[in-house]
Formats: sequence, C-alpha cells, structure tokens
Amino acid sequence: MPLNKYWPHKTLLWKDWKISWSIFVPFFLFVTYATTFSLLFAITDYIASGWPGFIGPWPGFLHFENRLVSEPWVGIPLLLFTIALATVSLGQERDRETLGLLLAMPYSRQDILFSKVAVGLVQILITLAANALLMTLIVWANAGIPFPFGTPDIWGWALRSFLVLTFIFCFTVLIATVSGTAWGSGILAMIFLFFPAGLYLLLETNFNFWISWHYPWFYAHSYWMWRNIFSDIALLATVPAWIMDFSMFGKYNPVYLYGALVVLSAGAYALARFLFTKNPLENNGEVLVFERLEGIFKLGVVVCFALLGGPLLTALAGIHNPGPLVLSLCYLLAGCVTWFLTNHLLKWRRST
Amino acid sequence: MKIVVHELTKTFREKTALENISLEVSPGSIFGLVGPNGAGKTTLIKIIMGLLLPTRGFVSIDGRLVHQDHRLKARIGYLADYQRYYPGFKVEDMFRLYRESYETWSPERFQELCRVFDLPENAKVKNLSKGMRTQLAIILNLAFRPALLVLDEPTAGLDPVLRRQFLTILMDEVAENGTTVFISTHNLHELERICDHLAILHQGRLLGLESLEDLKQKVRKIQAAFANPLPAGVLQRDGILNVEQSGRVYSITVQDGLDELTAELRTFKPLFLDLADISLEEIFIHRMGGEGYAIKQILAP
Repeated sequence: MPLNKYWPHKTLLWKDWKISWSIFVPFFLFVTYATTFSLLFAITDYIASGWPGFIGPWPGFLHFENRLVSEPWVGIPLLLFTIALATVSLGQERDRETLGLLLAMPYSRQDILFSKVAVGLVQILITLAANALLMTLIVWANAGIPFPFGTPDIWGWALRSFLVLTFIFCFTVLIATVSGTAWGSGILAMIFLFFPAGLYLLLETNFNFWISWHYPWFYAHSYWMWRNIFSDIALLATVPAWIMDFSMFGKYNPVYLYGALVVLSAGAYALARFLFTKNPLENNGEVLVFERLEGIFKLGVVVCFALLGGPLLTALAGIHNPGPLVLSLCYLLAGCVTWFLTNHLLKWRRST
Repeated sequence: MKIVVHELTKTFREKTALENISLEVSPGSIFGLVGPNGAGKTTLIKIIMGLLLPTRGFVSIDGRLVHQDHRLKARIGYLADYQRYYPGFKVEDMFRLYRESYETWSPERFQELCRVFDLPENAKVKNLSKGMRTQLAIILNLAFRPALLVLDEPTAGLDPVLRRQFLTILMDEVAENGTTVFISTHNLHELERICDHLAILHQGRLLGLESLEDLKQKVRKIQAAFANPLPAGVLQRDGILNVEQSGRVYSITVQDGLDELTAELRTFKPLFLDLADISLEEIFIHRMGGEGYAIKQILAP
C-alpha cells in the first residue's frame, strides 16, 4: 500500500497551508485573545485588586464552554472561523477556478481533499494546543492565585473544543463538496449545522399554537415529557451548541457524546471524500450537484418558510391568538411566496 | 502520446456544446483546432484534460481515460484559455508547486525557458499581466518535458516577438522529444507554420479534419489571362471553390479536378497560366466563407 494513502502529499500540504493562511491567522489570534489573553487580563485585574478571594470574571474557567454561554461573541466567531477555514480550502478553489489548475496536475481528487482536511485540522489543533500550553504555563507561573480550574481542565477544554470544531470542519467540507461557491458552502453549512435546533424550535412554536386551542393538552404530563425528549435530541444534534451550551453534559455521559462526535466526524469526511470523487460538479460546470435532489431541497425550504411564515405573519398582523383558518392561510401564503421566489432565484442563478 | 476522441457529445442542460466529434491525434504530431468563439474548442480541450466529462463518447490518451487516471496527467502539460493561479502566490511559489508536483521537472529546461521568458520571480501572480501569466504557464508546462501538450489559445496576450519564440520552442519540443501537441487557436497564420493536421469546429460540430499538407496539395489557385473572356459554363463545375475576375485576368481556386481544368483552360490559349500557392486563410475563406460560417472570427489579424 503506498504511503500517500495514509499521508497527504507534501506539496499539496504546503500549498493548502499557504492559501488558508489568511483565515488561520485571524482564527489563531481570536482564540488566543479569547483564552490566553483573557486569562492574563484576569490575573492582572486580580493582582491590581489586591489579591481578593476569587479570580474572575468567569463563573468558573473550569468549563471554558460555560463562558461561551454568557459571551456569544466568543462562541459564534469560533464557529464562523472554523466554517471559513473549511470553505476557503475548497470553495475558494472553485471561486477562483484554481481547482481546474489542480485537477490538471498529477493529483487525484482524494489527494486534493485529504490535504485540505489535514491542513485544516492541524491548524485547529495548533491553535488549541498552543493556547492550552500557554495557559498551562501561565497557571504554573502564578501558583499563588486560587484558580477555579487546573491544568487537566485546560487540556480537557482543548480536547473537547478540538473534537467539536473537527466535526464542524468535516461537516462543512462535506457541504462544500456538494455546493458551489465558498459563500454558498458557508451559508449552507450554517443552515444545516443549526437545522436540528432550528427545526425543533419551528415545530414547537407552531405546535404550541395548535395545542393552545385544546388547552387541556398543554398541561398533560406526556406533552412535557415528549417535549423534553425532543428538545434534548435537537440540542444534542446541534453540535455547534456544544461549545455554547454545556448544560446537556450534566444529563449525558460526555465520553459517549464525544465518542459519537469522533465517529460522525470520520463519517462526514468519508462521505465528503466519496462525493468529491464521484460528483460531477467541476465536470459539468454546474453550481448544484445533485439535480435530482433539487425538488426535495425546494420542498424543504418551502415547508420551513411556511412554518416560519405562519407565526411571523400573524405576529406582524398583531393577531395574538389566530384561529386554525387564519394560521393555515398564513402558512399557505408564506409557502407560495417562497416557492415562487425559490424558482425564480434558481432560474436567475442559472441564467447568469 | 496518441489521443483518440470517439463520437464525443457534450451537452450543458439544453445546450449542445459538442456533437458527435471523432478525431485522432498521432504521437509526435501537432494538431490544430480552429473555430470561432463559442464553437466548443475549450469544451473539447477540457474533456481531453479530464476536467469535464462527456455526455456521450469518450476521449482516451494512449488508450487510457484521463479523467480516471491522475498519473497520466503527470505527462501532460496544459495551458488553459486563461491562466488562473493562487492570488497570494509569487512566481517562485508557482515554480515550486510545479517542480515538486512533476517528477520529470528538468532544471536545465527550466533555466532555458526562464532565459526566453524573463519573469520576476518575486512578483505576485495576481499582479502579472495576461501576457506574463501566459509566459509563466508556458515555463511551468514545458519545464517538466511533457509527452503531450494541450494548449488552449496559448499565444493570447503575447507580443509578436514572444509569440514567434513560443512557436519556435514548441516546434523544438516536438522535434527533440517527440511531444504531441494539441493546440486550439483563432489564429490560422500560426497554425499554418506549425501544424501537421487541422480540424475546424463550428457550433459544436467538426466541419473539416485534414492533414495540412494534403489540404495545400488539394486546394490550389490558377492564375490565368486570356485574350477573350472565357465562355460561360467553363468555370461552373464542381471542385471550383472561387473565381475572381479582374479584366482579362482570372484567379480560380480549385479543390478537385485541377488537372482537368488546367487542360481545358489551355485550350483557350491563355496569355499566361500559372499555379500559385494558396494560404490556409484563403483556403478556409473559400471553403467555408460562402456557406455562412463565421469564418472572419477564425481569422485573427
């Protein structure tokens, strides 16, 4: 078995490292600012305030993720940077038409994808490991300060973040193999990554309207039991939420959860590799690959917008408790408008 | 390397870009492809390079399907119609990318080419002009001594001196290494200098495919002057592509039946009668210009 089956081509690694540098540097600086620098600022403040009993500003650095719940400016950019790393590596090659240059060279499609994924994951790993190392050194150098966490917690955070971001990266690469441009891939990845939680919220909001007309159900124990089950499933299936909401790990064993994440990441990469090798995206000069799935995608968009449009239109019209007829009309209106717009948008996209 | 294009059809949704194209390119030959804009030249080249898949038919290179065989690409040089590079890369980075990607990269050949095309190694590729980008592509694709060169409008953007130098290099490459060249261009004058075979593509269909030598042998021009005008009907026969008359002087382009026509014209006691060479451009104007083809688009100034 040739070695390059297991190891990316070094020239491609060099090339991919070079073209993703523009995203990697801000990603690295951002994570460093949000972690190592935040720790340094906290220590400076602690010393300046005369060594009080506890060190802030976090509820506890023990779980880095906890901090992200109250500070979405950290979690959201972390997610966006990871998506950008993945889309830039593949989508930008298409946008700039350099993929043609690469495909005319003596590399297989597997070689090309393998190198991109390897570079992206190494960049995430370097960023997290470097910051974990820096924070460890800072903690060791300030042994007198009562940190609410220890070195194992820092490295635990780095490992958990790596696993979550690896999944987000691999999933985005998977989307990028079946989508057109870098922007398109990024937006689609965001939609699908948040789809479980988004769909759950959409269904729950609409369901609440319908059962409110049969109020005894609203107080039924079974309703709340199923609601909690579905809510947990939606939250667990929304992986980006794992770095923003730590509460679910009180209920479920993190080993199983992260184990599942590793399997899912590997599965996303394997599927991306299969699709990138098989799909005729570049081969046919098309924007969307699987033409036969277009109808399903359109139907999905229409259903989601109808469900969104129902409550939204009634709220905009100032109707707080719409009856079944009004709500159904709103669904119909939102669905028809979306169907019309989607068709015209696709036609316009093709004509251009 | 031998290229076989067999009953190739390519459609993009409703549009047929190529229709039932068949041709063969012999190893060590220079094969020219001409056609107006939108004729399907770039599509055909992309299919040959494995960058597009045909809807029907196939292209094989040395009996192998290139889109399934990335190792085959290690022996193929490709100049696209427009050179796309990584914007953040410098010229030297592109050299490195190719040097490390092709095992047959020749430092000596690279130095030779760099002497002809003087490119600033430290310049960013995004700052290069179209002509300089083409020069860079020429260096990159000739330095690894390819067995097959696929060139899509390779001289676009080059000044006349560099254009001539490039064509000379190309002919040297064929003579020294037996490289096969598949070249698409608007410019018939260039092809006339270098090509062995020529194909004309128009609206996705192959209009003609001939050896240049045969073509020039077959199509000739008779220039003759007569004391009296020729009787009507003498020049109305199959095989005559064009007749121009200026006073008593006739200029007749003949594709078939040259000997018969010459013999007949001699019976009218011409004041003089000569056989003249005809340029490729004239051949195509006469063969296709009258049939409504966009021949002017094929003829670059």
